[in-house]
Amino acid sequence: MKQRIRKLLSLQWILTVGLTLGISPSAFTQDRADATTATAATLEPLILSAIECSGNTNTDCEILRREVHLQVGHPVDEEELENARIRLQLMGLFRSVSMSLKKGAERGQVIVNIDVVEGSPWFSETSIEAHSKNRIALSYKLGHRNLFGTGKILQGSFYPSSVLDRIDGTYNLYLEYIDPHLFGSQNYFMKTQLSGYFDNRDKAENYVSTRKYGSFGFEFGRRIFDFSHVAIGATVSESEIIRRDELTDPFEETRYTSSNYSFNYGWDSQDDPYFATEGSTFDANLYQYKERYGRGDFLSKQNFSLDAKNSLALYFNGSYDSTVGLSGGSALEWNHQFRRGLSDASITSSKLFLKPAVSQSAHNELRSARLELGAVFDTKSFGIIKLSAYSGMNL
Amino acid sequence: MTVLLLWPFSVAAIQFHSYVQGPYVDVVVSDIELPMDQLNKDLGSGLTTVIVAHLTVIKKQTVHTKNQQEVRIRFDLWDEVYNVDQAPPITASAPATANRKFKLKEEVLKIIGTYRFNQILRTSDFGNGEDIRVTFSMIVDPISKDKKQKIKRWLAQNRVGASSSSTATGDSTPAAADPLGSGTKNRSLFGQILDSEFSSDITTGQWVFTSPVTALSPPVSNVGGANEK
Repeated sequence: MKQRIRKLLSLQWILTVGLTLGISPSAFTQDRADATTATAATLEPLILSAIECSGNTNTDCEILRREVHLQVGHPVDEEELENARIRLQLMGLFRSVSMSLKKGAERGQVIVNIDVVEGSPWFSETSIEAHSKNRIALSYKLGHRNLFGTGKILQGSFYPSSVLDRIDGTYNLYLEYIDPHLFGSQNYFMKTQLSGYFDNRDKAENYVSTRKYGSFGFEFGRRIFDFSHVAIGATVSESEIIRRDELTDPFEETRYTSSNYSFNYGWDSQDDPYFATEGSTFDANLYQYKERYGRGDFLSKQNFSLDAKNSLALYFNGSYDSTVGLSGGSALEWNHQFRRGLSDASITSSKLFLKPAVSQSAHNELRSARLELGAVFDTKSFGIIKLSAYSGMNL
Repeated sequence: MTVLLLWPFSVAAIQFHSYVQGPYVDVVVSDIELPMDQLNKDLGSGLTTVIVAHLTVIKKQTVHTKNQQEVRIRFDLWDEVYNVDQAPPITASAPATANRKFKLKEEVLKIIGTYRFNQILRTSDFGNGEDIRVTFSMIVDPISKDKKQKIKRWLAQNRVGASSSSTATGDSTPAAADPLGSGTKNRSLFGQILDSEFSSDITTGQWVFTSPVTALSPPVSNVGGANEK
């Protein structure tokens, strides 16, 4: 136990010093390729004279050049070119990336050509959740991952619950703009979010209650070490609740404004956001939350939330695997994933998952259990499709 | 009629032959179906193409020997010749790494489509009708385990922190599931890496081929197998 505390303190110390100085310890930072390969290529050193791009109809060549960590006038490091090719492939913007050399102005001088086949910048995610109490929730996300040809992301999410569910009359809309590499930096990122919410689920013959909510937020973050990040953010929101009860209270309207400032630390070493087979995620948020009713004074309160999810992958025969994990400190998650069997069909990957969860409310004695069974498909034509059914009960 | 229709689509299967060399047996692997689309692009790129070939011999249902050959090819843009390094060399008398130059790509393809593994077995290993099986694998531009760790870090660099500020506002709607948008495209390379079952330092590559385990016929006297100088 003492050792754990010591480890935690030392990690905190490294984190604090690193953040203060704006550096990451070299042991944790990205390894730059330093190898000059002993190959047939050692016949004569080749000097880089320029970097060109081809096939990039929608993507700025500068985005491609940024990943090649070589300088004009210096020797060509083939290991680094291969690293750059893989980095570009991992950006998710291209179907294929290949590198080749062309003759430069003089013998021994070469031009590196980066040839790409661009993939569709559009992506989508559809989710249908069925609840045991005859409720069905629908959500749809559509996004563009290469805005202005610079790798910025714009995505919108829509949750029209009332489309499939006559009881639930809520609509949610999210619009997010994400810059994964702020000002071309490998370390800094930025997100802004606009969201709207409309709820008129409480309807009766003589009673109507509607709730409208709108917010704007931004988050600015920095990646640290290999997989971690820290971020600060702020959100302002305005809500309006209207109740009309013709029998008792004819009309009531409440407006309140809230703002929150957040500090976030987390890591994500999972190899895939939907079909993770290894790695873990952790997320801790510290909030200062203020709200004001009408023209009253701001009331403030602090909140701390913690989310941890660890995945352990178990492989069986190499054709499928099962994963168990803890989520939110209360949910035990079990995934059963098929990866190979469907790889040539219209479904690239798929998985079945079972999520048993028990949660305890922080505000009261209420304890509940929930069981969710579902499947996620990565389809070539319709993007990610998630289908799930769940049932919950109070304990 | 059926045979006639199927014939043009049949693919030549990989061939294993064994030859006696004194008290030893050499194994020649030929008719490997190469990834021509990739090689056509790679071989003329001016960059080094690395090919690693493994031969595993299985005797009494256990691995008897493992052998590896490595071929490195780079096209000289000015002299317009292919420089080919091969290690270990095909013949015992050759230097540690054999370097050859070829004018034609077809000659290079012939080199990388056939491998001779010297002195893999003793002739006595075939005594008493011993069941000897072989499997061959070939990797173009291998990626090491060390590189796999780097790839994980590079993947993380494209992620965006997943703070869900909606929690503080009391909003019950789910947060965006994927902070990056979609990791779908990232998976292809990772899928290859994770699917790999190689136990050596090399985990995968741009192209990986593994043959089925095949029974090796008893050796015949040497007829000058492929790749020999």
